[in-house]
Amino acid sequence: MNRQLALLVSIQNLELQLRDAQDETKAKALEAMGFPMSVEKIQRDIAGLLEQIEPRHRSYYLRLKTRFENPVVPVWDGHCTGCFANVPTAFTSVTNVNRVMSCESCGRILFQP
Amino acid sequence: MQGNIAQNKAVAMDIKDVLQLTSEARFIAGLQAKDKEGVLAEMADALLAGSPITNKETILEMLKSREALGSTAVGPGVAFPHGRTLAAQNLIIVVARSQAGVDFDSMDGGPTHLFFMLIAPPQDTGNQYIRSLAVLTEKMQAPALREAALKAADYAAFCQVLTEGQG
Repeated sequence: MNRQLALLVSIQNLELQLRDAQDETKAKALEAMGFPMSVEKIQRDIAGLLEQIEPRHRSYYLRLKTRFENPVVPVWDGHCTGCFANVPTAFTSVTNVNRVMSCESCGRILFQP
Repeated sequence: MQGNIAQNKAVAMDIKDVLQLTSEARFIAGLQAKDKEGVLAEMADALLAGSPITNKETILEMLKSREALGSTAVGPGVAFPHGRTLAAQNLIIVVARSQAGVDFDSMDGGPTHLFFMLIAPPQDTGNQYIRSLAVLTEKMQAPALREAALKAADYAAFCQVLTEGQG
């Protein structure tokens, strides 16, 4: 996977952890089990990864984030899981494997899970 | 406290429900890995086997970033690497054992022998992910059960130990 895309996926995965950490019920449950979630640490990690993203990808990601809760989504069965539009077969072609590609319909960044 | 987390929900989960989320193919009776990174990689391989998920790196990155928040080796000799990922469509559990034990940065500093990896999707119905984690962490507090789980001859025996208590 393209390194920039891998970083974007990691950021989005951290956003999922952050959502749990910011949910009081879930955070308390996790802490009781011995898994404390530090909102600040997750936010720092996200910021650190964002710094490693090329400016053009970063600005595109941040723009998407203002529109969607999930700016990066997997492609399942040839569909963007953000808007469920068909993804062109070119997405999986070898020539595109090292590129950051987005959905032609909704603009979300796509990755092969 | 942990019992309350598992029980104080509209739909209670028990260990049998949790074991439905794993399978023999996702049970590693004897890990080859000798370190934390190796354990996560070996368990990720088992996760990918027979799964539509093909990108191991995505899973590993997520697990490592979760471990960076604090080790998930919270029980004596037991670890619960876990987290949510975009790559998962439903909650999947991988179980592994190491007779020799692995340094997994445990709270008590001792080696970790039993591993329960929970990979959760972004959204999960009925909060299955956290409830499963609660069931497992509570269950694995019993020293006799941990010992029996480590000694169980195969996957069927392992499941029997967990469902029947002491085995």
